[in-house]
Amino acid sequence: MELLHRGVLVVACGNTLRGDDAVGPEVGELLAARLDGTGASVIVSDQLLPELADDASRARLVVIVDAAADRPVGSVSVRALAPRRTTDAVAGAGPADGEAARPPGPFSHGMGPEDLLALTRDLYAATPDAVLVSVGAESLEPGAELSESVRLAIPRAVEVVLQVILEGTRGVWTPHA
Amino acid sequence: MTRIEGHAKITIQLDESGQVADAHFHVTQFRGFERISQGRMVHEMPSLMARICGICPVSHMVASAKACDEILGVTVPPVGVRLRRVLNLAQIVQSHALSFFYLSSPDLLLGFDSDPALRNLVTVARQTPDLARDGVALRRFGQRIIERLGGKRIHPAWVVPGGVSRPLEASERDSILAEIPDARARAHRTLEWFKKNVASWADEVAHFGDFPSLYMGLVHEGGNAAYSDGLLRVVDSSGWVMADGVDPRAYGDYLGETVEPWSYLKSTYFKPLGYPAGIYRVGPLARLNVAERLGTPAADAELAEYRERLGRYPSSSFHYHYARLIEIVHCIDVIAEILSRPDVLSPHVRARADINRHEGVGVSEAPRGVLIHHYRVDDDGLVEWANLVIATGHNNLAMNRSVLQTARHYIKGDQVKEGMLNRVEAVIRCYDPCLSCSTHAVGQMPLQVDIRDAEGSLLREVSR
Repeated sequence: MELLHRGVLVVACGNTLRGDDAVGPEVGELLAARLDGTGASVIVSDQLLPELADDASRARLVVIVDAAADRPVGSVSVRALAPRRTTDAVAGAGPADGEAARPPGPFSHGMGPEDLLALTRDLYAATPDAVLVSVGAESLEPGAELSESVRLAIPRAVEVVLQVILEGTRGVWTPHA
Repeated sequence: MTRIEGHAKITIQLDESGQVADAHFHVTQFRGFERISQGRMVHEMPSLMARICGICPVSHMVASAKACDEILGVTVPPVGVRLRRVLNLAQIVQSHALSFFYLSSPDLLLGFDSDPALRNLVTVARQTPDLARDGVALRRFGQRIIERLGGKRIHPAWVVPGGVSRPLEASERDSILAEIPDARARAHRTLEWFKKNVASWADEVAHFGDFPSLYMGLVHEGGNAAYSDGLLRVVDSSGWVMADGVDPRAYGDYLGETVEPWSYLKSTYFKPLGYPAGIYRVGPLARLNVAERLGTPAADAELAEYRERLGRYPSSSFHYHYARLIEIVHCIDVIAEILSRPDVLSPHVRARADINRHEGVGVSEAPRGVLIHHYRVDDDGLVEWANLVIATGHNNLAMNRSVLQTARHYIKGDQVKEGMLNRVEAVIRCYDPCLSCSTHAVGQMPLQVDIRDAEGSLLREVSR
């Protein structure tokens, strides 16, 4: 591949000691190998952290890969992300039309993709395109093994992320089964 | 695997007149690393012990590796010592940045009584983006050093028994040095901001763990603060030296450990004064009290101003914040000094040997305070016994005292306002950001407060 993936950031997150939560890092490691030399950056992290906002601000496309407890086990789904809108009364700020404003989400262990994008916007005035690729998890209990269904979903998740990167268009993603 | 994480519980005991008589801070998670390590090969210990914590794994690696160094009977090459020091200092920078910017700045900037749903870094970022950016950048600065040297930001594998696993490359050194000026500027800017605003937190300063105690830390010969090596010093609240030049191997002669039935967290105390009179504190506030100086010009200038403002031996735990910011300045400057040395690229960074002793003790200064790893092994190097004395344990008595003081000041009768709960969180946060992280979220720390009357009957339970 050429360096046409410069400006792409993949953040693969999850706790490798929490069962299927490890699917993010597993996918991330494979993507790091596949995307080596293409200009894309891959960060494997236990969780989403504020300092990732700095990395995200330098990207034109951010792809977050994570396990999801609310999706069918072993499924791979894609949805576009937008920065969380906040409720604090800063002059000129406020919810956009059609979306109710919500307080910033809980922080530290509870920081979600929308919060990360909000930090990216508020700290660095950057709003990269962002997509969440989720792998449906069976169990997030303590343990070092992936469930069979999730393990089998890893190659598909890798291909989905690569497809998302290739498509690279704003906000139009076809959910994959 | 366990580390300090999970829920916290506080019980508050009222007397017959409805005033706070006692309070306890309970850590309800079982850790168990001392048992997990039994039967493991001693060479595995640094990597295993790093998993105790996701914020300060390097501290555990350094202390563990030093214990292993003793068991191997090796002298780590000087460059290996310095490289370990760089890694430890980088971790202190990123951990202090986490503590101050991510966990504490929402209280300091938005107010202790502000809406908990908004009292977090996301709101700080919207209202004071410059400060938030400095925090993010300082944390990245420390983490990138760890990642460059150790291969990854969390649980790096570079520190090993005998030294470090590979020499530093010129490109790594140069890239770190290139980031020093920016990190310095951000650290100084934050310190200036804090100094301008500290007067606005006068009530918290007076009631956030302001009491006399001993202080313990590592110092070099001559009195400079030490973070990876040095000997233990203990001073009292007026600076009287209670113990000095203590080889960490003799920690058991000076530090007692006890367990209370209401918490899994061990409490340590200064043995010559007994329990609980031997209460002491560790960490940034204690380090600046114990040391004569830090040893770098800019940080020592800040230290001089700190002492002029607060006295030679400040006693309020609120000043952990101020001390933390000065330490960030110092750590950045020491990293620059070490990496500017001509010998820092030396290939001689590790000594190798087999088992030569059956016991080893390693001590380092973690961001939160003195950290001790003590192992006993058999002839084959299998760990038979381990004792870990962690900074949070050193501070347990002090944290309990602080919670009591805060409760007495802010709780009247059985009325518990959210701002009081937040101040209890904030007192704990002065000592140990791992606890705040472990109880998950700023503003949503799963905290349970029980208020009981003089007979022990539960009057009210508040949790969130």
